[in-house]
Amino acid sequence: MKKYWPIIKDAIILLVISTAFVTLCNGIFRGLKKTTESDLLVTAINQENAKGVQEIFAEAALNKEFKSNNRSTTTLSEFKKIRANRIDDNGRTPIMWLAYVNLDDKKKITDADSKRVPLLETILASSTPDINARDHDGWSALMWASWSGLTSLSGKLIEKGADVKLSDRKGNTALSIAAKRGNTEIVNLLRSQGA
Amino acid sequence: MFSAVKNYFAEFAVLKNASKEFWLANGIQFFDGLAYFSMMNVITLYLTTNCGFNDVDSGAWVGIFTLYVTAFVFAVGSVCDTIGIKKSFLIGITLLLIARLSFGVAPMFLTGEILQYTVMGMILLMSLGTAFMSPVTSTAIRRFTSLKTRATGFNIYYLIMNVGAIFSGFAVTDGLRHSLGEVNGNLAIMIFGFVMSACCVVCASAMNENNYAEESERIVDDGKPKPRPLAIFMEVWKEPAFQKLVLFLLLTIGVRLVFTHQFLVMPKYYTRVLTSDFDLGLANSINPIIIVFGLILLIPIINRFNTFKLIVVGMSISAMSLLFMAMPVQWFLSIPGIHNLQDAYMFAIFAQILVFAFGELIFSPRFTEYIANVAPKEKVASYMSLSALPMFIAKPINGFVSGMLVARYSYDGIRAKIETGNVNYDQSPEFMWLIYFGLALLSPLAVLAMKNVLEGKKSSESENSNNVESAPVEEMA
Repeated sequence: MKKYWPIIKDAIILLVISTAFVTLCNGIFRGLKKTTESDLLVTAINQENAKGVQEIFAEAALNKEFKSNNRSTTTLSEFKKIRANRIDDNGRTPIMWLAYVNLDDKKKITDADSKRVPLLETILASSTPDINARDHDGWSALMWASWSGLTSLSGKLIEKGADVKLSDRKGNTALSIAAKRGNTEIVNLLRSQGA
Repeated sequence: MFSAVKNYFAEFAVLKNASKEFWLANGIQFFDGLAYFSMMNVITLYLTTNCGFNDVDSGAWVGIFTLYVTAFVFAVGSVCDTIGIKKSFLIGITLLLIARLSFGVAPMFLTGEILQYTVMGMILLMSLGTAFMSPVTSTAIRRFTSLKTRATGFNIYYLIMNVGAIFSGFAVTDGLRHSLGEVNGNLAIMIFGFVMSACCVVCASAMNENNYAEESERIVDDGKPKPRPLAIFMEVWKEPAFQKLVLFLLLTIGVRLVFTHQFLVMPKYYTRVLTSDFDLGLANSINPIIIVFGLILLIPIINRFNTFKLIVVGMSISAMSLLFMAMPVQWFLSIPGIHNLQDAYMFAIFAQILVFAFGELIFSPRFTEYIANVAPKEKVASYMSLSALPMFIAKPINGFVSGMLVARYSYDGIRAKIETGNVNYDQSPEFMWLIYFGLALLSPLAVLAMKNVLEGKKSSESENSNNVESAPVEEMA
């Protein structure tokens, strides 16, 4: 043991120095920029994990989260709505994340589309997200779906009340975004809905 | 050109009588390199997509990982002198086995904070395991080669490491992500790392650590404590030559941090300004390919020039490479053959990779030479072992800063906003690269400004630069 002691001592000294340094950096940089904590719901959506989304909106899980987070006088039903509309640093809600994929491959987009519609249904069944919420640039979930090429999801959003005429701060609408990206099916869908 | 390649490989003939242990050590190097580099290609994406870390936290934790690797290398660097090569390998590999398997399976069973704390714990465990590997492999290569074959042995070691880095990119990272999708592909890469660690266990178990190639180098335990990096540091930190070296290393941090962008910033940048299924492994394979061929073809020519000049020129080229990604991407649309933003980003990315690798090829091997030049003759090894110190300070800072910059300028979804005109230059990923370009450019400028202080003894005293024993694993981590 005696011969190992110098190594263990060095390791402890360096571990303490490193940890102190990390803690200092963390304090400085967290002070410089406040960032929103990651949202479990968004992580589950990005993984297209239907079970994960269901678990978050399960009554017991919501009750637990409600009790641990609730510092105001909101009721459980109000909390459910807040939960589904929680925004990130760019003003995006979980529904907007649901309506976004960054792919060019048509087959992969179709595959993502088919997985995401049931996720939207799960969220809508448990909560009342604002379908027409806008991010910091003025994009709605329908605009994200139009850019991403998610045709079925776009249809579902429209069915649930998405406004096809909203425009962002640069004047882009869901229709112009879909047209720019060459998503003809979505262009046709939006036109048929009066866009 | 053909003769340069022929000469390079002809040199390897001296290893035809190398021991089984030498090849087992290289086998460990290859398997562990495959696991390490493929994991590093996706680590920030894994932390965000599979574990739910936000951009700032994922950058910070990768920075913390690299910091602890450096710290533990200092602590356990001399461990194999005490417990032996085989035990050191087995301890390091076992830690990596546990960490890599946990990375692969934890997101399947855990969620939320429990998952995140588990992954944080495993990052610390993995940093300790990683810290064992590089110094122990170097010691093994040294022990299992004779004085006559040592230089070639280290050239093979360096070549195998780079071959591992090449295959880990386009074959492992892209192969698994394409076949299984991004989410499951990331997990499969971690499990692949576990399998590679198991192969390392087989190699280490078959090793006879007492098979010294140079009988005169056999370690006799005389009971005296061996010098350790911290003790060496306490001994040399007041020496003017060491202070000069630290100054040089501090001044060059800006450009050397670009190495870390490859796994801290690039994966998210690629998958956000291009597509989420982009071949990021292939992009990360280009650098080691250029380095391997460059070392073979260009080193004999480059060696004719002055070390200090090569460092400044190489660093300037590497820093300038970032300019491709810092320029407004729309400018590239005027180049024939570039039709849209996707093409423009591809052009900027590949131009940066090529130019950076060329600069790296010029300046990176010269670092070892510079340290050898500055150090008093009897303390070259000590100075070498302490040369990672300034990066120790820079690594966590870089992790936090990269996370913040990615969150601000290269967030997921930015491609949609760029294409629709919602992103001005000062909000764009190009602006992030402008910041990095400024930091990188400071290095050659500062080195030039401090030329008189930094220029040491003549390069004739330097060691043979082909004897590159520094590992990219350490360089990256």
